[in-house]
Formats: sequence, C-alpha cells, structure tokens
Amino acid sequence: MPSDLSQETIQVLYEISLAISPRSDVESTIETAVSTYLQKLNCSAAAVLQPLGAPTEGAQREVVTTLPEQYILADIIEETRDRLPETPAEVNAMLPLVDEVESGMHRHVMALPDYGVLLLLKRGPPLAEDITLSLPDVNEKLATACNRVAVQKQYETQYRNLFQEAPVMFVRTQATEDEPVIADWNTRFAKKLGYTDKDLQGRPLAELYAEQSREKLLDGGYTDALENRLGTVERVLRTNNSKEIITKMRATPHYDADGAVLGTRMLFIDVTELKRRKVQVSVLNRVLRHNIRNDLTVIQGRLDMAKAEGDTATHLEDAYEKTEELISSAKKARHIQRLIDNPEVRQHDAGEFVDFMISRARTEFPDATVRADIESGPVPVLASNGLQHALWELIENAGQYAGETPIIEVTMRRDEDTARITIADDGPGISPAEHEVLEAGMESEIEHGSGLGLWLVHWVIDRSGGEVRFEQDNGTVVTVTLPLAERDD
Amino acid sequence: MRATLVQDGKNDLPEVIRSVAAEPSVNGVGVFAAAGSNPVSDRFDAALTELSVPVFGGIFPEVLYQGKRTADAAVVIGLTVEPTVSIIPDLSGPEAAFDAHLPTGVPDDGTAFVLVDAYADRVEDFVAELFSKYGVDLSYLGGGVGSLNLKQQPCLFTDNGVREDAAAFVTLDTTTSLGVRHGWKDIAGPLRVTDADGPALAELNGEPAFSVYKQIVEEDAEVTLNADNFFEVAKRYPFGISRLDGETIVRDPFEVTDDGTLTCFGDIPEDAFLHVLKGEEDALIDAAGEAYAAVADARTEETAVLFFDCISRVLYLESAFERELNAIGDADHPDVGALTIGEIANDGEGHLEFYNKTAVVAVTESL
Repeated sequence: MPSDLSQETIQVLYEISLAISPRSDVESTIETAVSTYLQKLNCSAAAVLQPLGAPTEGAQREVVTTLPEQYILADIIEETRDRLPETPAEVNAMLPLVDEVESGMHRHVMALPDYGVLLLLKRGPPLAEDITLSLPDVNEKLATACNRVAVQKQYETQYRNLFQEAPVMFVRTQATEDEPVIADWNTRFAKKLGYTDKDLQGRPLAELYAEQSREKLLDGGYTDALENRLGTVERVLRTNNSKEIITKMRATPHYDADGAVLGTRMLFIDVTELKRRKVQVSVLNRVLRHNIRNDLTVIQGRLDMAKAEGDTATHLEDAYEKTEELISSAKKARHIQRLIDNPEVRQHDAGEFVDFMISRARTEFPDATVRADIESGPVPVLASNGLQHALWELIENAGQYAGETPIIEVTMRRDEDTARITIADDGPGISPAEHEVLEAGMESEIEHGSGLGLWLVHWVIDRSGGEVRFEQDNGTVVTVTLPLAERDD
Repeated sequence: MRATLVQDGKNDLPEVIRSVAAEPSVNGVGVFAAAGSNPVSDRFDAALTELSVPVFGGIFPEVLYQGKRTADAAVVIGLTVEPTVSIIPDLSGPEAAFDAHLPTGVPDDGTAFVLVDAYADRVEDFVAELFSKYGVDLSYLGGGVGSLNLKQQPCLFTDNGVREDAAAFVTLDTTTSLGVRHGWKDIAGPLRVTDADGPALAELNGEPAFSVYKQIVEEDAEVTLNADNFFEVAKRYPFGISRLDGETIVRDPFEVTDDGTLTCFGDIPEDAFLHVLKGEEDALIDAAGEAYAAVADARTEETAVLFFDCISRVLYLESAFERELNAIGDADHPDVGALTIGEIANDGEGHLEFYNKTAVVAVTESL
C-alpha cells in the first residue's frame, strides 16, 4: 500500500474494509462488500468471477455476483472472461488491469487472491493510481471472507446432510410467547410421523405429542429444556394417523450468534420396538414361569392321583388335556418368537385368509353356527407375518369358549383406507381385566392376561399398524382394523 | 415540453391539467405543486384519474417555474415524450418487494424521474433497488415529495389520485445530462458512526451523537444548541459521508431525541465516517453554478433545463437563494423544477444516491 495516501483515501479504504465480513453465504458477503466499493469509489457497476484461474480447460469462470443485474454487464463480463488467462499465476501476473472498455467507461480488473476476480466499472476518469495500488489489501480481505464462508457453508452442508439422513429424529424448535413451534426437522422425523414439510413448518410441537407427554412439555418440561436442565426423558409422539411412537428424547438449548436462547434442539430415538420386545419377553417369561409351572403341577397331581387311586381314565384325560394346552402354548410361543425375529410388514390378502378361516371353523367346530358376511374378491392389507395365526386365534377363541353350540359371525368391510374384520360370538366374553391389559399393551405383577393367544393377536395387529377393539354385546365382538395396501386414492 | 403556471385566482388546477392533457402533442402530464397551493381536493383527484395520458407529480415545499420560485402555485407540464409511470406502494413496508412494481425494461440512455414520499422509511432501499435493477444507464433525477411539517400525508400524484408512502418511477425515452453539487465545506471529522439504525444516528466515536455534534457546532456557531433551536441551527451544519471521485453525500439532521439520537433525512450507515459540514453562501451558490456548468454544454434550443434543489438550502440561504437560482442558466431558467426534501441523482456518471442539501441540474434533450 502506498505510504503517502490522503486521509480521505485511507478513510474510504477503511470503510470498504469494515463492510467486508463473512455473512450467511458467499453471495451476500460479496454483495455487501461490492455495494460499498461502488458507493465509496463512485463506480457504476461491479462483478465477481470465480475462480481465479480457469476452472477446467475450456470452462468459463462463474459469475458469483453482479451489481447491477447481470444482463446489463453481460458483454463486458464476456469480454473480461476472454481476456483472462488460464492459470492463477498468469492471472496474478496480468492484474490489476485498467483499460477503457468504451468511451468514458473504465474497467478495473483485480485479483481476489485464491478466490476469483473483481471487476469494477467506472464512468469518467479511472480510479486514481494510489487507490488501485491500495485495493489489493482490501481485496485480500474480501477473498479471505469469501473463502471462509465457502468452507463454513461446506461444513454446514455436510452437517445438514448428516442431520437430514441421520437414523434418529431431529427437531429444532423456536420458543414463542405462547408455546414452542417447530422451526426445522430432519427427513426421518417427517417420515416417521407421516407429515409433509408444509404440515410441520411453524406447527406447535405439542400437537405432535401424545396427551401425557404434551402435559409434561407445557408444564415446565420445555422451560427445563431451554435452561438445559431436562436430561433424557421418555416422550410419546403421535403420528399423522394417530399412532404412538415411544421415544427417548434429549433436548438442549439452541442459541443465536449472540448467545441468546432461541429454542431447543431435540433428538428423539424411537424405542417403541424396544418397549414392545420388553413386553413380549415379560409375557413369555410369565407364561414359562407361571402358566407352564401351574399346568405341569396339575399334570403331576393327576398322574400322582392316577397312580394312587388306580382309577386312571379321568386323571389321564385331565393330564392329557393340560398337556395339549401346553403344546398349544408352546406353538404360540414359537409364533411369537418368529414374529419377534421377523417383524416384516408386507402385503397379504385378508379376504383369502378370512375365507379360509371360515371353512376351517366350520370343519373344526361342527356344532357351531358360522355365519359369514364378507366382500368378495381380494382385500390386500399391510400386515406383519402371523396375521393368519392372529385371525384364527380369535375365531378359535369363539369356537372353544362360546358354549356348546356357539354362533359365530364373521364380517369384513373395507373403506377408503382400511379393512375391518369383525368376529362376534354369543359366549360369555373376555374379561374386562384382559381387555385392559391388552389395550395398555403391558402386564403388571397384579394384572396380566391368562394366555398367549390374545397377546399374539395384539402384537400382530399392532405391528401391522392396525387396531384391535373388544366389546361386549350379548357375547364378544372383536374388531380388527388393518391398513389397506392399495388405498383408493 | 410546455409548462403552465397555475396560481390561485388566476386559473384552476384541475381545469389546466385536463386542458394540457387534451392537447394533441401531449403524451403525458407532470404536476409539481407547492404545498402552499393546497392542491388536494376531490376535483383534483377526479382530474388525475380521468386523464387519457399518463400523469405523475407531487406536492413539494416550493416549485420552480421559468427561473422563479413559488410557495403557493403549481406547474403543469405537458410532455411530448410519452412517460412510462410505475407507482411503488408501501414504501415503508419492511417486507415490501419494490421489484414487483418496477418495469422489466427501460429505454437505453433514457431519463428517469424518481419521486418518493420523503417521510417513508425505506427510501434508500428503494434507490438501491433501482440501482441494482437498472444500473446507471439511465439518468435519474428527482427527490423527496411532501411538506415541511414533518408529517407523512398524501403527496404523490398518480392516475389513482393522491397517495402517501409511495414512489413514482417515471421513465422517458430521452437523454439527460446531470450536474450534482452541494458546496458544503468540511469543518470537523472524521467521526466514526458506532451506532445507527436507518436515519437515526445514535453514537459517534462511541459517544451519544448529539453531544459530539453539539460540541462541534457550538464551538463554530457560538450558540448553545438544544432541542428547541436544533432545526434552526442544524440546517447550517449537515453531515457529510465522503467517497472518492464523487460529490460527498450530505445528510441533514433535523431533530434530536431525548436520548441524544439525531434523526436525519436519509440513512446513516453504521461504520461510516462522517464529517460535519458548514455552509457559506458563496460556496453554496457557486456549487449550484458548477452543477449547471457541468451540463450547460448540452443545452440547445430544444432542451429543457430542470432543477431539483433541496428546500433546506433555501432555508439556509434565505434571500440569497435568488442568486443560486440565477446561477442556473439565464433569467427564464430553469424551465421547471422543485425544492425537494432530499434529492435523487446519479451525479452525472457514478453511483445512484439519495442526497440532502444538494443541487441537481438536468438538461434534457426533449420532454
């Protein structure tokens, strides 16, 4: 930089220099700076081309910014591109370039080291020589700012990709006067909950929570998160089609550049499957520990009595019956094990299954009256493996426990999105305690179901994204709802 | 171009507008009305909306006609060159997209009249948008319209009536030469702007702006500066934002708030360096003469001389302003013009700016 610059020149260079700082992106970094160049140097137009050397053989340098709009400068930009040599070293050797491109219009081309080329156009006389000689220091600052923003953007892009594609759910919320709203999210979050980006933008977070979690969020939970006091907690999300996803959630404050808290960053890990497996293990454990032990005790007792009394027929009959029940339980346990090991949800023809179940029921329960009211033709549904076993479990239950000559009614209907299968009988019904255990989806030491059959139904239908409802109406009415594989829309 | 002076009691503004617009050679109408002429009425609105040719204009503190100034008359200009008039609403709107109201094409080397509501919040953003969109291939001239009562009110004439908080961008396919000068001299600075928000200048060199400004002005003016006499004293001591190879951009402080913030006509950029300027009669008048001299060579029998000068120069020069007006051409010139609240021009060749306290002279090839 020349040592004998006027105060005015130093001041103007300083002002341009102050206008140069990394901003949100390269374009705005350059635009802010170039706008100050133009005003302070009283130039009429500017452009920044990138990179300094030609990008590849025959390729053109990209126009990053022009002020005013590019079409006004198109000819001069084109001509400048043609003038610039290929390699950065050749470009550096050639610059600064000052010439008169048209009458009364001077072009100044300067290097933005390791970044690109700055083009300034000035009407009237060219920039004074001391300015031209002084600008490289300012230009270098601009180039450094651009390179820094470019690197930062690269990291941001990588982070963004990671954020978007991560196998967990991320959400960023914005604190508002009323309640937190969603400001950003990753693909997995939207996909898991079944919402579009438009649905999520600005939506209150509480609307995506199940009721209990919503209360916790609004009753101090969000405030704790803003103050980084929440830790890892369990929260239940609700999907667009009202399914619940159990998650482990960790929330930390989200700050702006000045350190002010804007909202939270939240990480949700879906533990629904883990929870389901815990229940499955718990139920299997209970069956093994409780039911099998009880049945074996009965069998042992009957065998002891047969041995002692010599009257073997009745005792052996009872022992045989209990043995059959144990084998049945073992079979169901095996189905459940398969279900756990192979949770794949795929397309099945519920119509074919139900047809088959009705024929089988008429064969296996000849004293029962089996009525069917089903739509003809295939009914493709999405369901996990085990659907056939689950449906048979419900029909078999009716055949076995609904009296000597039960009446079993099977109906199947489809609407826009779902298929609904109803199995009704005129028997004594399933106890309310059993319903409650199944609807809660878990057992306790006090409340537990008696066998594996209804658990098998619950798990298969739940995993399929469907629903099971039990009602008592002069018997038992069980309704299974399953999502259709080919929706009408 | 043919200009008609409309004075109360002599002729009727709506009638003159209709009559000028009806002339076969007239393809557009400009109306410059002095605030004292009280032009706004239902009849005036009706005249604007019923015209078959484009119309634009505004209320100015004073207007110029054939080398004279007037505070209580209007000038109706019949344009032979058809203007393309774009009205930009919501000039204070933080999110207003000005671009949506601007034409996609403008005539090469054409002329643009730019009239803005002087009390709108985003005048400079609008000027920056014009520069970004059209560059300086156009010759821009114009300024802030409104009255000197510091209140925003309907002041811009459009074919939809009289509007406020709006701008008019009027392009004509005719060339214009521009001269821009102010003549204010530097007496103190540089002072770094350490806190500013738009036109509100809060701090200079890290101290309250008013206390820094007061110290400089009191020393020179030998008066005690306070909120009551601020406007009267400050009109002689504007700020200057310097740039190389171009006229300093003048900023006119017009009020001081309780916290020591100075409010100016026009934005003060943070981190800029300001100088305190002072006016001297001869220097200001000479500068106006230089602005005219810069374009005098472009004059022919066909050309029109237009003059947009800042009303605050009148307030400062008072009776000496007649000398400034005389410096612009001969006794009958400028043909028409206005005393504005801030001026818009691209100083003949460089960057487009919103100025204060500056004289803008234009010689237009044909109007």
